[in-house]
Amino acid sequence: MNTKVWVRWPLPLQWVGLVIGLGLLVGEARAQPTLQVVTKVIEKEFPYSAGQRVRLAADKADITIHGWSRPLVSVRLRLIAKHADRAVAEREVSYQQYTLASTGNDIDLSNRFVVPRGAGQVQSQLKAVYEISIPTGALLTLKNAFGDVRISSLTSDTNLTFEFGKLTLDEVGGKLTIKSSYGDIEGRDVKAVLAINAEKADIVLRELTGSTRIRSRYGKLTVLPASGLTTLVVEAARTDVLITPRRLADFQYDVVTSFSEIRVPDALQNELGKLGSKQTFTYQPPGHKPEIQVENSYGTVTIQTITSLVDR
Amino acid sequence: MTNNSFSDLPEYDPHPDLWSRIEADLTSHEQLTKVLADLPEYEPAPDAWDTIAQSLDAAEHLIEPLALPTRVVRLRPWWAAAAAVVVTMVGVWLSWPSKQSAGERIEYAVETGSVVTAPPPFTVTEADRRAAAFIEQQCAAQTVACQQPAVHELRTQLAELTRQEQRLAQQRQTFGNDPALIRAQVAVENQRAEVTKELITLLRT
Repeated sequence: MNTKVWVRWPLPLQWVGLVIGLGLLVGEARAQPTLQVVTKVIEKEFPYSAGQRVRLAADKADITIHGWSRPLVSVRLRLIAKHADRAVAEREVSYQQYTLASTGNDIDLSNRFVVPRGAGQVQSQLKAVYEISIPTGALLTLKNAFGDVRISSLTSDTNLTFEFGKLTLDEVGGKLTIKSSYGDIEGRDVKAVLAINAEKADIVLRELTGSTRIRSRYGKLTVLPASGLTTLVVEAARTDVLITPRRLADFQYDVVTSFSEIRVPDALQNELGKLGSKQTFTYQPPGHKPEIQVENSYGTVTIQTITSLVDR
Repeated sequence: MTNNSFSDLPEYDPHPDLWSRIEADLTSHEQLTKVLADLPEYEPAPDAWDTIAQSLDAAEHLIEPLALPTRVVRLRPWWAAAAAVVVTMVGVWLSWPSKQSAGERIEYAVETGSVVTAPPPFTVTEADRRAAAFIEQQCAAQTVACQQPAVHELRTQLAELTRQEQRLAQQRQTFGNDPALIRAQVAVENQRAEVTKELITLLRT
């Protein structure tokens, strides 16, 4: 009852301010929207024997696949539902189904969304997240839509098909085949027999080596070839192409465009040619250099050294 | 004090149930000891700490206790965060023993401030309608311009983009305001705008 003794009166103004300030802060925190996150976590490991193909058929998934030296395929799949009401998230997380199974020749991994009849529109944000480690030499086939895929340290035979979202490649070798629509691709240190077939994709390949063939319609393509590049063939349409070698003379070039322009550094303007609606650029530096071949229509092709990019 | 003085001491009777209570205590103690030895042992999953660490990372978005009615328990934010972590740990632990064999478990967390707000719906605007009408008109009037391979290709593209849009609209019927779907729809809309502009430029000249 004597608590009043402890209160100094009048209260110093700073304290009043502090109390009001704290009150506002707490109020602010309460006003922020909160989401209940319900996650079903599934973890599995499979022994991997040479020649087996890991087949991942994903939907609306963010996927990370990393190559490691153990003879194991390790999968952590998280099926996530987010909603303001936990009961809703809890109910709808079960709309996500999955398969993680080894069938001898293949290791099948997949997820899908099964909305019960009459359940109406899904109210939660549903998403699947895979974290996968496979042997660096494992064969891999992957399909995904509406999600991001990151692949690193693989050296064997990889086949990727995806729509929307983004694919990030880091240190991937061997044979690599990619089919993308509306899916952007960012590669670093790819040294492979690489084949890309893309529509409406933004593609950036840094430190590209190995042999590469790219078909692109409606998109953007930027390639920074490194000295280990053996060939680069681009068949494009309506794609803005930018090739940026360290030094121009590291490669020989054969570029043809229709209804669009070729841009090269001033020193090589003389190598440009024109024939009706076509433009050409052919340049062969002394010595036998790896060839960069580009064909494009309705999209410019620009060849520029990295230094000239920096100097601009 | 002599022995005689004992008779002066007051006398108390024990509670009538005392012995039975003591006996019950002893029995239950004995039973507990026996049962304790039979209890199953559970190893936490190898990545238990990772999981907890992750949920702690997730707690960067302020985590509040889940099951507790907030009106009754008014916790300060840091206590709330700590309590939520405990709740999460207990939740994770509870779901282990029964489901570990399936390699499946359920985790709960709370995210603050990341609710996806509904974007403005992708309605066909007056300008979109005018653009479509212009393309139709031009193609009806000057068939030559419309037969240019470039125009033909762009119109095919436009039709394909419309198909994609319908497909995405269908997906959104099911999944609502899903961020990945919204991003996809924005990509298609932008592409459509680009193609439409190019087409109109070609048909104007």
